[in-house]
Amino acid sequence: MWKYIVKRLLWMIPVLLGIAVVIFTIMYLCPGDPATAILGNSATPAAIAAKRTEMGLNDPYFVQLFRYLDRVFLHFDLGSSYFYNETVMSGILSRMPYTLIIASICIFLQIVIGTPLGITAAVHQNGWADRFCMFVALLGVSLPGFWLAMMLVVLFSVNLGWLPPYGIGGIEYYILPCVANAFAGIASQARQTRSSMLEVIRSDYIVTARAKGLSEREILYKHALPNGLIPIITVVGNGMGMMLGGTVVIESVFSIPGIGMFTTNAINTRDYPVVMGGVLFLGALFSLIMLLVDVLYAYVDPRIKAQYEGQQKKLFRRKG
Amino acid sequence: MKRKLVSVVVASCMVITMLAGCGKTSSSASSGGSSNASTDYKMAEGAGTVVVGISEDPQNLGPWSGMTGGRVSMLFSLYEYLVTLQDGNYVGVLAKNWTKVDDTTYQVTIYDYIKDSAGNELKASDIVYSFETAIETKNYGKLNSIESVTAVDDTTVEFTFNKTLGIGEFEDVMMECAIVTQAAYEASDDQMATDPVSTSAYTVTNYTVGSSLTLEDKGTYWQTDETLVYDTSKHNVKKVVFSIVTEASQHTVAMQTGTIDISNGVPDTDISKFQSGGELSSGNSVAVVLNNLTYNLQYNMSSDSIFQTDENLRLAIAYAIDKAGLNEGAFNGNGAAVKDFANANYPDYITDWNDEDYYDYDLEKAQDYVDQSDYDGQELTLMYVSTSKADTLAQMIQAYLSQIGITVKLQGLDNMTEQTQQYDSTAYDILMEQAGSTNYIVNQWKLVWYTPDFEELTGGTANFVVDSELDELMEAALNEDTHSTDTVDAVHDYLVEKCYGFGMVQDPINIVHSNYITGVALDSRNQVLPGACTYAE
Repeated sequence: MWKYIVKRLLWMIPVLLGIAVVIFTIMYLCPGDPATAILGNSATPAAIAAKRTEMGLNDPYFVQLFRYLDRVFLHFDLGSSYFYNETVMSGILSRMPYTLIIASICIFLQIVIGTPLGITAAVHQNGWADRFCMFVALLGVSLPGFWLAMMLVVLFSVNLGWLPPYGIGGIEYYILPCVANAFAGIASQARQTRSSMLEVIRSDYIVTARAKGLSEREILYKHALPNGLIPIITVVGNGMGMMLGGTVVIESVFSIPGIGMFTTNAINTRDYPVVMGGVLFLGALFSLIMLLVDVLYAYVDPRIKAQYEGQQKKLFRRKG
Repeated sequence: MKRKLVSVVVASCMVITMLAGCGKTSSSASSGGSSNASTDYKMAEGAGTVVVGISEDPQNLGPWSGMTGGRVSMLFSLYEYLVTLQDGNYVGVLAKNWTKVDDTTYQVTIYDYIKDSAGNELKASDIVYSFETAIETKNYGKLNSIESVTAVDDTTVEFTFNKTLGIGEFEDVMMECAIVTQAAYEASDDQMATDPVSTSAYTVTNYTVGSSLTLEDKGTYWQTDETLVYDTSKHNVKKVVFSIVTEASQHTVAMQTGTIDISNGVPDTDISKFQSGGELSSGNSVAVVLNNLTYNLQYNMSSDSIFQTDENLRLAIAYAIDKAGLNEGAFNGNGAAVKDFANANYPDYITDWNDEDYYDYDLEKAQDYVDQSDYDGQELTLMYVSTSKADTLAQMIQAYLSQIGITVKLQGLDNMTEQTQQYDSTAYDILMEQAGSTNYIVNQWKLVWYTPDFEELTGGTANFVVDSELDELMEAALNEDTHSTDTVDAVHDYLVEKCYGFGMVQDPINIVHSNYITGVALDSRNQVLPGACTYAE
């Protein structure tokens, strides 16, 4: 198992290399000039040219690319922001707690609300509970996050005055962003859980369990749910990625200084090191989450664990 | 059963919608707020504190880092400069006086009792250090003309330039570099990015990156002679909180709920709600000031463009656009149509221009010109920086020009992209820009019509005009010794005659504020100066 994990970790290197090359190329081709952003609109072309030379932006594409890859992959340095007087890594680390708090609460809400909703819907298939749960799920996948966010602000901040409309502070500041960001995830989770549970519930071993006289509760939680977990875990893993991505919008709407806002501000000012560092960091984080999901598969389903271990043995036999 | 379920769901949706849309517009305090019933306004944090909503994070509080929108919002509250602009005139802040020694040399005398908030004395050597460090960063193009800065004695600094400066250029240089003491700067661990120490009345007590910046007046401001304290140095309020609100509609919500006291980021579409009679006008007001920037149109005068040789087409377009109509349509009449490439805010603006014909809207004349032109129905590209105001203006221009049979394709770009594209002669036919200077009208013209600044990129002016007569006239108007009504008028007349481009409208800046603020003060960049605003007792 450990070997599988190490192998997957090694596979992350080319993945991150690919991300770095793609994001660097996009930023290179993207119109706009960080030198102009730094000097302001009234800067003369001569001043801008001098600044570009100083920043190394006049070098050919490959020179800039290899300089970047060398710095990131051989010296583990994401560079420094053009505007913030700090390295990209320290900028990311100082903002990460806000993003992680939101993403973690969202994924927690996704699991604790989405899963029971899906189970309820599956157990009461075609009943009113099923229709209600699926209606909520349909709303969740259909409503754009930023629209929902503004509607929540209007209701809970402006009209009821219960919650702050934006900013950071106590836990009350995270309620609206998390609800707005989690709603789509809860919906996906509920739909996936329902479909997965429906498939399992119809299986022969469930019929057998029922014939043996087990209670519905036992059937559901001891036999059906563990067998339906694989697709559910997949949705949770993808959901974590969605939550991290979703924070970009939510952080802007609620003025939360997380990685999302750090990166979007950087796009506006063409702060290349921050954009590239932010994307690379989120890419690495997402890769790790997907690895965690794969490891979880093995723990949930012994057949998958055996498959992972079988692959290792096969590999050793071939080498030996 | 099914019908019942559907009705329950529909009813629930209606209730939610009603709750969201039709709630109370209470004047009671929201999070962290308090209300003042007797004066009928809200204060975000109570008397003695003002919360200013800004749209961008300052990112770096250091004195000489790169410019960002958020930085502009707080610079004058945080730092002092040698001089400042007060009612259109330059006045000394740290500088007691300044004199021109010869064409390229100036001497500045500073006050001999300046101290920063850490108690360090500020001397001429600190001015030298500030300028030299700022120049080293290469973040300030205006400082490129400085050859050397030397301290003559403790209070006298001599500036030598590598060229003869134009009118207002020296003062511009003095307003470009924030001044700090060398001792304080070197004592900072992060080049003052988060803990600046300056000579301003305010010191930073908290900076949460991306969220808020709090400044407090510690009562140790060095300038004790009140007659010498100008707007940028005033400290009428004890505590200033800059609250970063990145989403425009949240500025409206924040003003509505009393989370902030003042904002210039409320979307134009919501301004009327805060104006007299509006649904959110209770306890709030809107201060409207004319922007010192002017929207103008520039023709692509390169050989790649039809406009280079077709003066009739240039004039046709100029006469086909109703500038007063643009003001009504895009700014509800709160802006102003202009009678020059720049607006009337500048001290060297000549008021006689107001009575002259400046391509005054005349559709018949425009049609005659287009008939005489070589225009054969091709699509012309109008490039501009896309903002809600600029989009509206561009759409109106497109409609005006369609009346004389000219087809326009709109190309709204983000700011960074537009700045790159504008020097590409194939990128546009007509360029709409917003430009302005902080001092003289000639310095606004300079942003487009001064060949030496653009020659390397365009071979001429910013919009590819190669015209030696214009260059000569601009030189005369810009030179401090020859700048006069005659030379300024000569450039204006020449630009009107040639019609390489023209000014259209000045937009209004709407500052929404709580009635807790009784007078709004802005700096030369139209940013709120919380220290200079006046407050209800």
